[in-house]
Amino acid sequence: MPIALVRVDNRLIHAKVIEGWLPIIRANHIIIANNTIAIDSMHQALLKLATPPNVKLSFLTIKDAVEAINFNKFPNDRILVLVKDLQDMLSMVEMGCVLESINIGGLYYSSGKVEVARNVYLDDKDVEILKKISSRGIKLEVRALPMDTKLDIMDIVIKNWDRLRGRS
Amino acid sequence: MTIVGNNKPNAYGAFCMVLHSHIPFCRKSGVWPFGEEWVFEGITETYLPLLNIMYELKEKKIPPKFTISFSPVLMEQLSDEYMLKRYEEYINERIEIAKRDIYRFSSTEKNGALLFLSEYYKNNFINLRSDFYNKYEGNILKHFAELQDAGLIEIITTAATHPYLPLLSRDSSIYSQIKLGIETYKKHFHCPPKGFWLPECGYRPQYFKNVTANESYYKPAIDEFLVKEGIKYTIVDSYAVEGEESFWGGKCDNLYNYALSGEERSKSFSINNSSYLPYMLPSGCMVVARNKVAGLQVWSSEYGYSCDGNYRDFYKRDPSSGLQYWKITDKSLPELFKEVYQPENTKTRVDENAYHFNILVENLLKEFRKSNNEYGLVLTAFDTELFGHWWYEGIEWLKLVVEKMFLNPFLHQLTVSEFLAHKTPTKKIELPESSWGPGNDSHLWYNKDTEWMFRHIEKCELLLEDLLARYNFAKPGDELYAALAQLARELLLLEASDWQFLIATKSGTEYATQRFITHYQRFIRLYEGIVNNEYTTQEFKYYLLEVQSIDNLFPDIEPYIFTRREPQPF
Repeated sequence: MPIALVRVDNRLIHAKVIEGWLPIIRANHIIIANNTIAIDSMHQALLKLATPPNVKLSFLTIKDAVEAINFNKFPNDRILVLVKDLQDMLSMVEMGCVLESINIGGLYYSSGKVEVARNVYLDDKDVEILKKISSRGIKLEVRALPMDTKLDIMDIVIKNWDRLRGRS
Repeated sequence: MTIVGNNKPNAYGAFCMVLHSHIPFCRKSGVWPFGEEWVFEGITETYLPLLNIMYELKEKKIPPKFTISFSPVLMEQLSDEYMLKRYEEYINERIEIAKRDIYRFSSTEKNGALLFLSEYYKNNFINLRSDFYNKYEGNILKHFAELQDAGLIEIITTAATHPYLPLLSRDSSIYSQIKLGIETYKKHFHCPPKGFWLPECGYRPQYFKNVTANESYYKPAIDEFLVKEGIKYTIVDSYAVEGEESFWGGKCDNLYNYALSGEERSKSFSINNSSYLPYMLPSGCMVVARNKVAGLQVWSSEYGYSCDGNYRDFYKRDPSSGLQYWKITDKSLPELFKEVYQPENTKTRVDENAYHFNILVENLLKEFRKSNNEYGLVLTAFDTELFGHWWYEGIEWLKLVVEKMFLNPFLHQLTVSEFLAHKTPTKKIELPESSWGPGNDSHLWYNKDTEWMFRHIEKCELLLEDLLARYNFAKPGDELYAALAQLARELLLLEASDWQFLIATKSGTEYATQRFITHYQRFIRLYEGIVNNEYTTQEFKYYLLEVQSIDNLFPDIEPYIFTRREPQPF
């Protein structure tokens, strides 16, 4: 089961994913890894509407997603794994999900968060999560679209976090 | 002019002669033995004589039906003002050299045969000079275009600077090389090309590129790029279709007698993936393959026509003038023992060889027809410069082949487009990565002596992609745009397969290495000038002008064709 991409994106399935990423990575199966959506049929129905008919869509709990990745549950598919937020991503990693790289696609603004890259807003808690993930040797890069220049999020966070937070 | 179906109802199939013309970009980059003379020798020994026989055939109402590719770097050099001025100097010098040899050989009676040859060369050079300026008005490409417009030949294009495409790591380069190849063709021939010659027959199938263990993306097959740019067909080596090793330097049973006797070959032809049929690739691009047997018969160093002892020896030259006065004699003989070349003794051999080839192709198609009940194809593809330049008598051989096949009721001679229009492929196949090099892979170009070049090329590809993403606001006319355009030219020149070929074949290692390093240094100097915001300084402008005056190819290049087309590596 080739994993074509693992992406953290609050919006999960949207135009940038469908029209920007799918033609490049040629994924024929999207796995949404999220404990809430895995049991929320209404949310699932909405996401199905946004998915092309020739692309398989699976809703897995974090645990099942880790198993699917680590134990090659879909050997004939090219898979795009979409993760809703950094906390879910950390949970996957802490459950032993074997990954080498993660794409940070979009993290919403909310109160107390600062913009570190286009469409990527973080707070201190997020930075701590990123540090934990990065400490496992996983590369973290920010890119909305596949041809965008890759930004090393740890480079931004380590060098500039205090300045970005207005603490320097 | 005759097309399939109008006559020859008993034809077994078609013959396509593909001639691939390419000379590295050498303008203002060296003179004999490496550099500008390559183009001038090509003009004198191949392109002008080829035009002459094609017009001769036209007069006789015999369509040559060659499919001829010109590399865009060659197109640019053949129409470059500086190169045309230098050609005038070259051809005049050739005449003077021959005259000096006449004077030298006149002084002793024992040099009668050499005297005859030096006069023969002098007259030949004078005639060619006259043809170039009077008959063809110094514009060779215009006359190839005229023959194409008359339906007598087909001209196709290839990648801009003739890179081995599968070894270019970034798709921005593959796209740019193809796009620019097509645009340059349109500039010189005023219509879009139907066919695309893959440099070195280098083909890359689709694959997935791994960025990390859990990130990968799709890399399209080369033909997917071609189809998107309007190309209808391409040509591959026989190996790509049939799976057997190609004939680069390989030994093979002597097939000469086979053609004349018509004896059965042990291998029966199969309709499955045979070079005798055209195919459709998944992208919708049609593909034809060159024929191993017919190709080998022409240029095998073991028994090809071109190594006949009566033919002029390419390598032995007069130490004083550089003119070639000897015949091959016996290819195993040391140069010292080569006999003097006698052009009159080659006429019969050329005629015999042309006759033999005509019958060989007929028999191949006949046998294929018998086995498969199909109208088949025999396609041969050679470097155009094989004829006239390397094999001196080759141009005459080409003419005689066309004449004999024209009269052969069992063969059609067609351009590749005409063949494909007559027999549109129905079967879809996928091709492996392949080339016409030894082993049909890429090791002639990518090996321990050349791998360093590809690391530098990839570095420059990534630097240019990065620069274009950062400086995406330059407009034609800007200083920045001009600098980016020159950067693109230097990258294109770095990517030429010529440098690896010269190194791998040990036919110009120092020159190739120096050229590569020069273009690399120009690239880096321009790159640093841009990122350091020096591109508006007087010093940078002088440097840019200097480089533009040397590497002036593709004057209308749009640097943003090199924009990133795939994810960055980590």
